[in-house]
Amino acid sequence: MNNLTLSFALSMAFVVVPSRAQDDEALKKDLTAVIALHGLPCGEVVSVKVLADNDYDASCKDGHKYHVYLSAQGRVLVEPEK
Amino acid sequence: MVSYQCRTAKRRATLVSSVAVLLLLLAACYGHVKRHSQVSETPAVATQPVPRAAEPAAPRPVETEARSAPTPRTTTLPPQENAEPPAPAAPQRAEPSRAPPTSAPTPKAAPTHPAKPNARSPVKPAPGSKVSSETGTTSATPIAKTAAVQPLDLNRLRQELKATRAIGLLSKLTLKNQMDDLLDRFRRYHRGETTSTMTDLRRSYDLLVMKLLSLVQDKDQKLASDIVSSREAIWGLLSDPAKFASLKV
Repeated sequence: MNNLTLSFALSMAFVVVPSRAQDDEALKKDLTAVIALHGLPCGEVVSVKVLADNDYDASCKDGHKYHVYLSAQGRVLVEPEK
Repeated sequence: MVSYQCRTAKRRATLVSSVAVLLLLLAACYGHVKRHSQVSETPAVATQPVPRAAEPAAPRPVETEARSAPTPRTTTLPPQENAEPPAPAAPQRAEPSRAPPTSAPTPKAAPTHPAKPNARSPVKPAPGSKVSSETGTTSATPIAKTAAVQPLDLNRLRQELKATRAIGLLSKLTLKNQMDDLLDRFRRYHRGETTSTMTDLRRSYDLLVMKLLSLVQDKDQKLASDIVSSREAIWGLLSDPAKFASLKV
């Protein structure tokens, strides 16, 4: 029984880890698009810190950092961070 | 000896079960990926034959649209309005300043019946397409083909934009914000409350459409072709004060 559990856990690890990585990549691409839609320089988002729901700190390839969040009025706002 | 055989059998059973679980999960993953690829690789809509210019214009329901793309509300005009010839798209005060960019045709060349180009004002082909010297019809890329023949169906466009996986959630919200801002600018323009010209609005509209296209064209070509085909019809609705006033925005 323990061996069966172990094999199931290993199998799930093979499935879940790539799925999470895909989600991260999708989020980075989404944030890259949002920053570009606001006309701000970035190039590509390389790392994301999730602060809350729809609230992110994005670091760009060119060194820029942005706070991307959804306001109470339903607007997506991008604020440069120092 | 018996215990050794028993242990070996147990190990074999464990191995077989783990392989079975792994295969099951792989099959599930493959099915998931296959479904996604089928959604994104849907071929472009088959084009309809282009009617001749001499044929009488059959009444066709034209759907007017409040919002340009992601949050449209669709209403159908009565047929008698559709039987009328297309009115000039832009308001009169915009005429002197109307100097649309070279890449975009004038609103006059973009009636609300994009499926029926006539001999005097043929639909301008999209970039990258070839125009046949004999018939004047567009050919080459599927996007250009559908742009020439597909009627405006904003309800379908809205559904496609909502459902597409080519745009992330935050990007969709950002685009919606920018479309709402543009609609506000059109509203102020038609009320005479702004110094913006129709040329400025056209430039902003083109920019927004290009942003949208750049996001969807690689992953959802059908949606991209639908946007291209609806582009001028939507502009016709936005730039005409009477049509814009009838929109529920």
